[in-house]
Amino acid sequence: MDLQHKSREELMKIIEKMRKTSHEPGVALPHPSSEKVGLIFAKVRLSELHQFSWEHLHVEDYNQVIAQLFELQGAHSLSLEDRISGEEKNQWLLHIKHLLTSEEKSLSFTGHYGSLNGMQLTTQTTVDKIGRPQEAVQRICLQIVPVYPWVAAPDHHLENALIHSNLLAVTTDHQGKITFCNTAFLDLTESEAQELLGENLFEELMPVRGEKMDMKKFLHLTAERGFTENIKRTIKTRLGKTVDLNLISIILHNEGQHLKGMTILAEDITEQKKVRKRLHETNLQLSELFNNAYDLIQIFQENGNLLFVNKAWRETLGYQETEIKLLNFFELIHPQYQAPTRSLLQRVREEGRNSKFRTVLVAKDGDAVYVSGSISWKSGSERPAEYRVIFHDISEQVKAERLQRLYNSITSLTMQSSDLDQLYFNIHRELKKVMDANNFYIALADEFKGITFPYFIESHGKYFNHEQDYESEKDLVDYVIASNKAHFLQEEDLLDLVTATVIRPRAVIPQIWLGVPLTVNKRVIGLIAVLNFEKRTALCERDLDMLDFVSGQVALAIERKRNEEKLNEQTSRLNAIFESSSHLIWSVDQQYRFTSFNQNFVRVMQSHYQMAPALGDVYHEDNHRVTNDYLKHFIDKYKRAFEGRSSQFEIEFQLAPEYKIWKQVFINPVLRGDGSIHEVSGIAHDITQRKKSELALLESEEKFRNIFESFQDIYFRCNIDGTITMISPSVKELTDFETSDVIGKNITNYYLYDSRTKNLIRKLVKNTSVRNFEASVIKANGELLQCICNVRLIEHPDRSPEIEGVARDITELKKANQALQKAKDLAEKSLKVKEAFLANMSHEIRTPMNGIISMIDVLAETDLSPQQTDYVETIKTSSETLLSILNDILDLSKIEAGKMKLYPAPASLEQVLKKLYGLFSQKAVTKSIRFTYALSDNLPPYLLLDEVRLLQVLSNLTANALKFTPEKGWVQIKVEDVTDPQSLQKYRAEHTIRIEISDSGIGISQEDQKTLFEKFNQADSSSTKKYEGTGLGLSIAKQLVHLMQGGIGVTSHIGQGSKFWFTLKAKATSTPPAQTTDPLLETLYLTSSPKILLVDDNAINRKVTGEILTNAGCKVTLAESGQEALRLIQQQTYDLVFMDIQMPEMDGIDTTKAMKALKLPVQPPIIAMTAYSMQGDREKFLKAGLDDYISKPIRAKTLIQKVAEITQGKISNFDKPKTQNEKGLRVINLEILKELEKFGGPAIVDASLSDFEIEAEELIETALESLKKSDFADILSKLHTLKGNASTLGVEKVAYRAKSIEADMRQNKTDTLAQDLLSLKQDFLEFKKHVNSTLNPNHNV
Amino acid sequence: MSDRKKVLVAEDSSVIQNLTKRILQFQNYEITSVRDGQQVIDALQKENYDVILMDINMPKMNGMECSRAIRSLDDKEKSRIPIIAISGNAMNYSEEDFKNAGINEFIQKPIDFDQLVETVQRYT
Repeated sequence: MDLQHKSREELMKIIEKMRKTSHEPGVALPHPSSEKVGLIFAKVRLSELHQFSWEHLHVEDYNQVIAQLFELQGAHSLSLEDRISGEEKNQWLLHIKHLLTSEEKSLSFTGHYGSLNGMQLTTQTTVDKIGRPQEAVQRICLQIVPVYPWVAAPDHHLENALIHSNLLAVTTDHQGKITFCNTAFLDLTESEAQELLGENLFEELMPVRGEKMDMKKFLHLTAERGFTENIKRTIKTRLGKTVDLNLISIILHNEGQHLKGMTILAEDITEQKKVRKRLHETNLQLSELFNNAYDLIQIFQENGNLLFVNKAWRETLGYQETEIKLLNFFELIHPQYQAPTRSLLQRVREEGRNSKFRTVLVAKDGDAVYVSGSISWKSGSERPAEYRVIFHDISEQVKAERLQRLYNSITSLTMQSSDLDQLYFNIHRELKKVMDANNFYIALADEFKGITFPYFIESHGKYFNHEQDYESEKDLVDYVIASNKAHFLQEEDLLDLVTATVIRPRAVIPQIWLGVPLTVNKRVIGLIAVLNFEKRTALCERDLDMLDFVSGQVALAIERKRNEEKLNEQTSRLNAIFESSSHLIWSVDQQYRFTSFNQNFVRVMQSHYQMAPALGDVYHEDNHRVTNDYLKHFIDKYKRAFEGRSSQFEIEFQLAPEYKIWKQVFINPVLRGDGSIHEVSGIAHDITQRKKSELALLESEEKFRNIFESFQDIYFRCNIDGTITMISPSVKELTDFETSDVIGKNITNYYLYDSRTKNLIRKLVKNTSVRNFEASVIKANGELLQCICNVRLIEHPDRSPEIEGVARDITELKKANQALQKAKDLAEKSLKVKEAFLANMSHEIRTPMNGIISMIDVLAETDLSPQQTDYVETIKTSSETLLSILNDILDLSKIEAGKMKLYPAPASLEQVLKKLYGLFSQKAVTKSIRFTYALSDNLPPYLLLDEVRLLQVLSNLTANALKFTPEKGWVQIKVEDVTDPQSLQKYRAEHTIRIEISDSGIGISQEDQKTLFEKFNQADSSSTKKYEGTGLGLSIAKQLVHLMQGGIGVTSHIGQGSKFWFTLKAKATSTPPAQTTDPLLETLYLTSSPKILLVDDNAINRKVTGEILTNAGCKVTLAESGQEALRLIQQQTYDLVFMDIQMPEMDGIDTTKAMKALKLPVQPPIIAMTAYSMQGDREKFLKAGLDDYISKPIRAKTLIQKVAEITQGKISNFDKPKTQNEKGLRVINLEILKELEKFGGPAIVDASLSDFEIEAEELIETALESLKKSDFADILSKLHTLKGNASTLGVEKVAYRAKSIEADMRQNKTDTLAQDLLSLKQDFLEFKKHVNSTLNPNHNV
Repeated sequence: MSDRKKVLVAEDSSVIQNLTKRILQFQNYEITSVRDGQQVIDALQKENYDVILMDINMPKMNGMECSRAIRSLDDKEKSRIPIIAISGNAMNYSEEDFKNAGINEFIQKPIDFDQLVETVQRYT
């Protein structure tokens, strides 16, 4: 190579020389310039059939480039045909075609482009592909460099220049015949010029491998080889020696189109060749040595071109031998190490060698290869300088070191990283140092949060764009974590996992995925993974090993950092608690110096003692206000704590005379890990409020307890299932149980359980409280305590409810209540009886009075002396007055007893008024009063009303009017229908009748009008009453009018007369009134004529009573005193004695006793006659021996009934002949039924009659049956029962019949028995019919 | 209230028995009815009564016999129960007879309801 270089230099000099010597005008020698490069860009299209066509190549461009390259000037131009001969052109195209279809990026070739002035224009063209391979249209860049020397000088110039050159030079003609050779050539060939000239150089001197070679072949060869330098030829010397020549240049001499000849420049390389051969041998040995060496041996030039590499080098870096030539050392250096390596090389050049050279090379597969070794710089004149390098591959070592470093750095990352994110970043950074970890993440598995990616770097930014990608990645993480193994997964493995539905599908599957679980203490906390989506080879198994290797540390680092963060959080939390709580927190050491305290402590110390504590302070008496006692107290507690015992106490601080606070203090030892105590902690908080309320509570509790303990009633509290939890001490006093006996027992043990108490709980739950609940509490001795309880349900929000209650002993109260109730009942009953009596008396009283009055009238018509007439008149007046008074009293009492009832019946108002007029006209005439009445036209002809009561009201008012109207005045009565037509419609024929009684009387003052209608009120209440009357009349009228649903009123002025009015409501009827007979005029009969002794001191009474009895058919004997009666009774036998009770000298009772004392053979019953008509009297009389009594005034009917009752009821006992006169007997005596009704209402009447009906029928049938058997005793018995029952119920006819038959049977009169029994049955059937038809509707009459 | 007085009514006629019962119930007495003297004695074995209304004319054991039997009971309390006789023919017996039989009071048929109530009240 040196040779070539040298030759070129020499050649240049020759060319220079030639240029200088050239003086021929028009010839411009091209200036050889290696700097000149022509660039042509072109597009070529390569079809599928490898047909090639130019897309874009401008010939002009090309010409221009060539002209520039060769510095051709003027009109010199080249035609394309000149430039590229057909053969060359094909070659040219073949080169480009090859380039386009191969992987190669560029290629170079030499081309000839014609000649210019005898100079061959030769270029070296480098074609570079631009753009992507395999495309139809390729862009190429042609770099055209001119090749020198292109000498086309006149031969003699050249020959002159070469004649003395050291170079071998020989020129031939176009056939190869030598025309010139220089001295050097002659010397070499050991020939004389004459010998060589004319010889054929190629045929004679330069045979190829023994054969002759013609010039054409040579020329072709030249063209093929490109560079003439590289052509080596052997030439024979004259002496037959062979000399090796290196043809360094061939200069062709052209004459137009024709080759004129050529000059060949060469050098002798025979010696060189020998040396080289030897060297080659040595080289072979060395290279074998090198190739067998493990070290990486290389030799490269200064420019980096590799001259030699050994096998180890190739294997390590992964290149083929053929590729070596194209490599450059500098390109092999790892980019990061370029700069240091270059500067190292520079130093080596200066120092000659370096044995500690280190760098990093990049292998063909991209792996870094770490090398170290020695390098030497060889430079010399002989040959170009070169570096000789021997490297050791220290990659593994470096890797190990790096791994170690990585391991260490990761271990120390915890310290360097301020937080977890920083840690993750640092881990990533460290990993990137050892592998292609551009895509890296850390996944953490959390029990609660699942898989999270606290760190996730995907350098492309396009493979994790969807949630789905992350979900899939999470599945993968799950899968790997579950396996707890490092995984090396390639695309197909991952696809398998997708198919197996282990992981969800995703858009792009990584080409390669490496993942290692992170494990701490056999617990998997997560996973680290590196992956690559584009290059499968980016990661290898070794990387997985590496990941695996560091995973433990990564896991530890993460765990440590996490713990650290947790600890930090905890610490800050604790600190926050320490500072933020309202508690005072401090600690002291064994000298009681403060070792810590919180702000609250400081604040409280300052506010209470006006001094701030400092760490290390000792609190003693001198420097703070805490008194000695307090300090001592605290020191005691501290001491205890240092002994290991905790204290808790409440302490009171008197901060000011009126300012006390309470603190609760906890003193605890601070235990170190080894159990030693160096500090004591204190915690205190203010409990003043609590303490105050506690004290208040205590006070109120005491109060409560006092009340509780002195409680008279029993207070109890129990839980919901009845267990007693609390009971007042009063339980002892009331039940004799001790409180301790009762507490814990079930409450149901202590009261009588019944349905009422059973419902208590239900009520309680419903209403939450039950008041005044009566219960019987069982005392210790088994007795019952009557209690009234208030029970309440106490609901608790957090536990089951409780029941509390108070029980009060009401045994005494209850007794009193019972007595009271009894008294009340009795009182009410008596009152009722009294009222009922009065009401019932009315009839009894009125009847005899009417009897008297009637008899007086009868008497007045007999022959009387004028004096007698006067007497009778007086009696009549008195009787009427008395009757009126009685009527009033009885009516009122009847009204008040609620007994007054109206019996509406059809009536004509006109008739009523006529009657009224009839009653009062005589009186009016007597007083010369104009008495008139008027009825309006609109009155209905008949109305349903109680005529008697209406008459009563009218009479009352009319009598008053007449009474208070002076003589010659007037009284007027007006009757009208004032019915509202609408209401008439509405209430169906109910008319409102208004009646006015006006007079021209004395009038009534306004004041008196107000009380006029009240009871016992008279307008004239003076003691000297001018007008008589009970004062009840108007009151009764008012009540009666009310019963008639009407109103009553008066308008009057003193001296101007009065106008009384009243209204009544009555329905119209079309039925005319029935013709009624006066009940008072009923005839009374007796069925027998008993002998009666009437004893009465009052002559009138004697007379009246005697008359009634006589008229009734009795034989009456009168006695005007007791003595007389005694006398009479001994003279004659009487059936009955009527005895007045109130008599002078010997009253009725004494007389009766005397009579009884007589022990007469036949003792007649004695009936008392008394004005004491009250209930209590009857008893008194009966006790006195009187058989019965009858009240005064004597009424005829009662009197006669009494006689009948006694004489006929007992007549058989007295063996009295009797007449069977059934006249006057009733089927049913309603009075008796009414009496019975008093004892139980209508129901008792119905039931009794019904009972009777059934039994009586049975009795009668049985009697008839017995008659057939002549069982008289049985008949007698049945009759006896029937008699008693019938008489009791007032079934008079049946009773009487039974009694008669019984009496007959007792006298053995049985001849008519059968007929009598049938009559009895007849009577019974009559009764039945009566009961079922007529009786029922009249029950309430 | 438990202070209702108890009356034993002995009467073979259901009319009188029911009537008496109803009247006295209306007066707030508690009534037990029997139909003959023997039943009176039986009833007394079981229970105590405040007063006995006794019909004289009864089958099996009449009122007089029954009254005598009651008065001769061992149980002092029961033997002293007041007896009110009811009969339609009082005149068959004298007041003396009643007294001897141990009958406290006599009510004659037809029964006067007032008298009945009054008499029973008097003895209770």
